[in-house]
Order: sequence, then C-alpha cells, then structure tokens
Amino acid sequence: MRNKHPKKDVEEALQEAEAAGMIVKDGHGHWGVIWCPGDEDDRCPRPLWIWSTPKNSQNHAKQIRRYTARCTHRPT
Amino acid sequence: MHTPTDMTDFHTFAVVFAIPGASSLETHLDELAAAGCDDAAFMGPATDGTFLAEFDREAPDFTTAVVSAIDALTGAVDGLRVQRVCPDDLVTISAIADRTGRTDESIRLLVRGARGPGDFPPAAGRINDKTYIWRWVDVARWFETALDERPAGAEHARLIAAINHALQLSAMTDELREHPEELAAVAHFMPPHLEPA
Repeated sequence: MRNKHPKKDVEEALQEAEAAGMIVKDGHGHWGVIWCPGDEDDRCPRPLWIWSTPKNSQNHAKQIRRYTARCTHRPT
Repeated sequence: MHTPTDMTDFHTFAVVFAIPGASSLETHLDELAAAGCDDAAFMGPATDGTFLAEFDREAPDFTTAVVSAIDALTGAVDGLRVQRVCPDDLVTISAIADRTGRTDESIRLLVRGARGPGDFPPAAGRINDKTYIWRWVDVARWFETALDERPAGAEHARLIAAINHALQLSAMTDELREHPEELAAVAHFMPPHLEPA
C-alpha cells in the first residue's frame, strides 16, 4: 500500500497507470518511481521518476500517461 | 493584451543523456530540479545505461526550449553528457511507418517507387544486410513535397538533426584535439556560415 501523491492530477495519472498494470512505489527519489513489470530484462520504456512537486503537475500527469501508453509489454 | 509571458507555449521533446558512473538517477534528482529541469520526466537507466528526460518546456519557441533544456541538463550534474535529442534523426522503415501513420509495407512500396511519385530519398546507411536507415529530415521533407503530407513533428526535423550532429561532433572534440591532423581535416569541412552572427 503506497501513500497518495500530494498533487491530485499526478495521483489520478498514477492510479490509471496502476490499473494498466504498472508498479508505483513511493519513498524513492523525490516522491517515487513507476515502472513496467512486464519484462525485467528489458523494461519498457524504463523506470520513470515521479516528482513530489513538479513544475507543472498537469504536465507531469501527462508525462505519466504517455509513459503508460507507450508500454508494449503485457504486465503479468 | 498579450504580455511576453503570454506568448510562451509548451514544447514536448526528449533528450538522451549519460552520467559516467551513475547507475541510477535517484541521487541526482535534487541537482536536476535545482537546474530547473523539474518540467521533465526522467527515466532510466535503459539497458544501455543512458537516461531520458522528456520535457514539456514552456518557451517562446521550440528552438529556445530545446537549447535551454540541453544547457540546463549539462550544467546540472558534473560529467553529464547530452547524447541526442529525440525523436531520433535516423529511422528504419518501421519508424517511418510509425511516424507517418502507415504500414511497414506501405513505406516499402514508397521506397521502391511502386507506390507514390517515386524519388524516395536515398538511405543514409544500413545496419545490416536487410535493414536500411534513413535521415528523418530527408524523409519528412519528401512526404511534404511529394505527397503533400506533413508528419507530426516534421517541422522540427531539421533542427533536431543539426543539433544531434553538433552534439556528436562536440563529444569527439577531446579525442580530436589529440590528433591535430584529424582535427584539421574535420575543420576543413566545417561550413563557415554556421558561425553565429
């Protein structure tokens, strides 16, 4: 169980990513990290670091959604 | 009434970079944020050890956004070297298909001249016997002139290609300095009109 992200826009994007099979882990870096568990040897695209206070939270939410959409793996 | 601040827009692009000896970005995020790069999503490492910064940067134009992002990244972390701006200038048939919304087979037919007006740009090289690569700047220009189609992002292809060539040359500068005859040969081909006015 992770903590909620303090920015509503970002939290919504993270929940969407989790629903799509992504792993979200807080307590790393600025706030946390997100990655695709589909293929440990060739993660797709690669771990994304989540800002706690991004310059623009709406854009950071977009970046997370783009990251999720680009994943071609089938998370298991 | 517009003020200069109103005339900015968000520009999306990505920058691939390396930090010698760094296996994670976790310890560098504070430096990157302090340098004003908290408008980027940082990813990595990839399997080749590089990192990726995907910017949504507010600036008056795309050129200003890209240049300021590269400068900020380079100054943020000791030893950080920017490798290239994406989308990459070198493209395979699959990448061309992806960027133009066509199938791989459709691109093969255009390349061979079996479809379309012909004169598809010559390949820039080949990775192996079966895989050719093209310069996106050439391909995007051909789509505009030959097919009257403008692939998304094509308006930045020239700038990205030129910056990437400059970055590659810059990365070789230290080695070239150790071989003055090679440095002179490269300098011979540097277009003098590229000097800033």
